[in-house]
Amino acid sequence: MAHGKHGGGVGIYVIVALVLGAITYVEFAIVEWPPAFMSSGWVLFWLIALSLVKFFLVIWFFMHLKDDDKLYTGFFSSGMVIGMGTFVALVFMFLLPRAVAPVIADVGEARHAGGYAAHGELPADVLANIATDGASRPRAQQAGTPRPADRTLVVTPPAARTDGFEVRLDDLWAGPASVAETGIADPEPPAVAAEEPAPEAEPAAPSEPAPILARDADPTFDRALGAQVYAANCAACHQASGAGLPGVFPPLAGHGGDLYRAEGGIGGRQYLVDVMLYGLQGAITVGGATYNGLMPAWAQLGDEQIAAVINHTVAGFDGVDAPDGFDAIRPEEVAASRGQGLTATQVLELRAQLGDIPPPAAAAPEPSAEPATEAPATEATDTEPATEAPATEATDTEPATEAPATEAAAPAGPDPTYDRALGTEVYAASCAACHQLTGAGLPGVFPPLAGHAADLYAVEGGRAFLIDVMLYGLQGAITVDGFTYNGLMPAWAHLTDAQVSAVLNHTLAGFPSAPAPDGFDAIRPEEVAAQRGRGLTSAQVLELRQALELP
Amino acid sequence: MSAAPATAVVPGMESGHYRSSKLPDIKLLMWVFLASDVMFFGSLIGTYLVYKDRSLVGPYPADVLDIPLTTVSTFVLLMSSFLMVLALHALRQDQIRQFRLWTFGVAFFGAIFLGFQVYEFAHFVDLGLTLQGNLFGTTFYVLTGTHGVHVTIGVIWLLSILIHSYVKPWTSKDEVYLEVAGLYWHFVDIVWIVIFTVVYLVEFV
Repeated sequence: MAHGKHGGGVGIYVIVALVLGAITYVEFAIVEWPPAFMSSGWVLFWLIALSLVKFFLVIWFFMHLKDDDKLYTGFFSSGMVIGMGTFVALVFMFLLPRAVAPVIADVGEARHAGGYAAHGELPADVLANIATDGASRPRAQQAGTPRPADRTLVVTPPAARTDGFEVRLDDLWAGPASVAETGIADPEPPAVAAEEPAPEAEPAAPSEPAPILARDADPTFDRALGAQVYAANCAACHQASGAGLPGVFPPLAGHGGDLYRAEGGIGGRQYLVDVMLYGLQGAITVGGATYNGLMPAWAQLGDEQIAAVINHTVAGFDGVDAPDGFDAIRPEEVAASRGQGLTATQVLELRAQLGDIPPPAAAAPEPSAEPATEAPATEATDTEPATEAPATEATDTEPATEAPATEAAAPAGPDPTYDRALGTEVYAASCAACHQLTGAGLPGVFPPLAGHAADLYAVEGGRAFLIDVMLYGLQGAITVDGFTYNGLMPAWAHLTDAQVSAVLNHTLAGFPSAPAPDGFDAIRPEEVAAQRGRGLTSAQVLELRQALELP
Repeated sequence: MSAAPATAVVPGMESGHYRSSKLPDIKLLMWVFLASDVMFFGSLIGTYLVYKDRSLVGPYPADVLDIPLTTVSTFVLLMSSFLMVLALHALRQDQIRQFRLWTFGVAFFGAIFLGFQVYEFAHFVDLGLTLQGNLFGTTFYVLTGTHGVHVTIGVIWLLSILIHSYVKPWTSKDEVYLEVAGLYWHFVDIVWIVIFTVVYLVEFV
């Protein structure tokens, strides 16, 4: 084709251009309609091969390397070699470690999959993990394991522990359950208490299998130990007097006794033990003030220490009388309550089920737990056969009725006509990382949803606004409950209509700490579908928000 | 681009007595620049691949990328390269009218490509993909945005040539200047060939 140095006819250019166009169409076609006989690996191979062909066609004919001075080719080739070398080095430097560390890659995959919920199903194990609210075992598995009543079936007899302490991973996880037995005090609290101390929840061996039965109320407890543990671990926040700091750390003096007397759900007695073992996270109301913080788990304390310090909060503060018929919590009860693998958030649900906590005798009060309407607390209801375990919570024989078991008592709320399981699942996968599982957000960083979503819902246009936020995101400064938030809520348009509506309903009616709005009418997928495709920007959604007449 | 024919019409060809090579300096310069640009884009594409699938939040590539649309814009860019060689061919034949027509065509097609990109970016931002929103947004916008800047420079360059060809009528003696602009343009084209495959097509395999 060469007609002298610059001679080439137009013909060759036309041919090359046609080939380039054809290749581009072929690339498009095999991606858009992958041939059945071609695996994705081969598709990838052909894509790369075809683009290389295009690459060299352009260089060779359009850029005249074909018949130009070889010095140009040399320069460009050396640049190509260095460039490709840099490229390959870069890719291998970062991708090779990923390949040999499949765990990290799996995390990436899982998150990727989470984002792709609209395109495919989440891996089963990820779903299972979401369903357990972060606990280590899927619900189905938990359901299959012996309830505390059956513990003696799987537990080594206590005799075995006196000499040869059988080292089991579960024991290590569950914390030094034997500290109390060996009499080693543990006055130093760890800086950060683990939120989930007992991942693999084969119950740690209770120190006493059965003999907690029938006994009379015994109000005596180790007051010295209780006061000491309290001073070392609790007083920093709840104050030595037990008065707490209003709005920041809830009071214990008086409130401890109120909780002790609560009879709903698992019973206040058991609840107190669970709070110590598993912590408590989320919004609670005590004496009219709202507290939205995190009580760490204290499972690393010994059974005797935990029992003593609970008794101290119930009956040990100066000027606070022990409840009538006070029966001191005993270390055996603490031991028997270990290993349930509850999360701090699940404890919040347990709290909500306590029902009306008797108000303090003196102060005027506001029942701290919310009414039963919201009790179908988030996730647990759907999967758990809630009727088993005829919750005999008041007795102290088998203290550990599990969270789900008690929820049979909670009837459906006013209008639960949305997919609660889906809402909880989507929320956990997509929202909880920032807004927290409780919907409490992080003050000043991520706005709360519990309560706030309902406020938005209540104003005119709020219902549509909520959908817009999910579909188009929200960017810019907003103020919620006195805190300013200047961040970016991503758009979640890649979720399906059903997912968007379910998760919105979850924020409106699914949080244990916030009741559904009056006359709540669940958002339906069709409403979401109707608001798609409007091409709003996240800044425009901010304008929509500003147009709302928020209280 | 000096218009003085004696010294600079074809640099290095007539006044090459102080050079060891008879090749035009400006062309050599362009090839060296392109070699360095290969490294530039190589690292950007490498960065994109390293962070591919590592975004923690959406939108993810498969949520926003539109293959049919980008195929069309890719085709437009490829055809602009075709017009580029036609323009150079016409100039070498001293067919100045065709040379101007094709040169305008290249700039016009380049502008169409940029229009596609502007539309695409605006659409993606509406979908929530921002420069700082997630890793995909960061690497995608930096890579395709850098390419878009290259295209923009090319369009401006070609329009300048077009205007200059009226101010000081071009002849076949000026071909090296158009050829250098063409080299740049074709290079931008081949970079897009790679981006189209690596960023767009591979995502849907």
